[in-house]
Amino acid sequence: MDLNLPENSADPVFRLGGTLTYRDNTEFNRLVTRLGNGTGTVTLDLAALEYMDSFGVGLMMLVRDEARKHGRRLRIVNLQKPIRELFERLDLMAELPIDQGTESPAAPTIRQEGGRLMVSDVTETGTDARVRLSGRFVVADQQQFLPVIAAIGRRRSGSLVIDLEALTFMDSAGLSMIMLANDEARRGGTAIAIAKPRGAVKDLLKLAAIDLVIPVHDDL
Amino acid sequence: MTISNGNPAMARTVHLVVAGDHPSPELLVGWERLGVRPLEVAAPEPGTSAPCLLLAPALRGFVRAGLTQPFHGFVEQGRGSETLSTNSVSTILKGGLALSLTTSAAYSLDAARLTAAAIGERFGVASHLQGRLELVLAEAAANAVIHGNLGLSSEDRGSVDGVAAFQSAINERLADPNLATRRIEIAVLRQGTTLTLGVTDHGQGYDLSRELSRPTARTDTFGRGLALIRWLSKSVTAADGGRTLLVAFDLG
Repeated sequence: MDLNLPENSADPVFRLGGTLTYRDNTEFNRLVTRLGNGTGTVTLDLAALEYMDSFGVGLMMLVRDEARKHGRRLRIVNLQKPIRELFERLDLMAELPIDQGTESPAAPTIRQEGGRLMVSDVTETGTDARVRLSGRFVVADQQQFLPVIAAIGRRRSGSLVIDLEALTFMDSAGLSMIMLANDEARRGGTAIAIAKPRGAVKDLLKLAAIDLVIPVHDDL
Repeated sequence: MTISNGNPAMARTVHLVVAGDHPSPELLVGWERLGVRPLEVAAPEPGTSAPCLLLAPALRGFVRAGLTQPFHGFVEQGRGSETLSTNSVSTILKGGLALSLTTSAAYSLDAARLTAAAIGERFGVASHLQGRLELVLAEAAANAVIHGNLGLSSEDRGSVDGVAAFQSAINERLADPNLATRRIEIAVLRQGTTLTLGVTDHGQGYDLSRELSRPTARTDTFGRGLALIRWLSKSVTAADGGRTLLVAFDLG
């Protein structure tokens, strides 16, 4: 593995190249130990990484856990096709804080990763706002949604779209948090809508007849 | 180690495969009472016909392995009671699947997701039912963790401050070793086109009939969990004073 360790930086970008396998444990630990220095965002750029074995996957999980332990935001960017396919096969796309790389530059950035739910920043366009959820929204993730409700509480008009296109699963606790956001929005005069629910999330919204309370749009 | 269900008439036994530290003699005696015999190997013996359980630390990879063929279940090793109920052993002997985790592991590992994926693979759940199965398991497991083993009510969650306080209470109780090491058991058995899910906690239990009789309004903020289980399943019953939720799920 080729590892480019930047000089001390508030938001360091670590560039990995070549192959990441069980042979790279020692080298990789140099990166892991750097997570304890500082508080900014850490980016793992895998643009030049061609191959990773299961041990390498374990190292990715380790760096995620270490970043969480030190309270640092972690981003994994520029996955090449073989690495992406490996993560997809292992069902890790929602487990690891992977920047999907499909958003425009103005798209919301992911605030909280490493857990199961990922919540974007609330982006504002005039009086309208949008927030994107991805991954899984279960009881253990409800606290991550509180900043969104707080942002809603600060609004006094306009609309907020909760985009669920990338949300793969939600239970009643997640649903309850969206209902709580709706309660907060109504108090402040903001209209909430849900956009692009898919699969099991769409089924849940139908089952609970949420569209009677909050407008649900397949495309918005 | 070999486990049986304590029923002398039951000829079959369960093998226990130990991946972590060797179990204590006391634990082995407990397993023997269940009729389980330790294999003391790191993998199922080739050619063994008895179903195998994996006893290992609660790492995601171990849990996945324990729920996947050739294993028929996983028991978390290292904290709390490292054993299974006789019901779960019986379920395994009938070709089912069982999982025993501490409360903290069930909460942090998202036990429902791991179990639903394993059920889908093992019992051939149609893809259009997989999400519903996972939702049923997620609701039942969350109830067992939050309301059962951690003893928390959700009545005060209906505000932002209430949710924050609720989360703090979860974290506080998970920091209490007595509560965090209480076990959650999930037992799964397919019979024909019906999947029976048993989710057991070690809390105070509750009156299922009373809970199910509570109306759920569309505008309610919280309290949909049991209603969702009821809507998605053929039947919901309680056993063991409300500590075990038994859900019949239709695979047809």
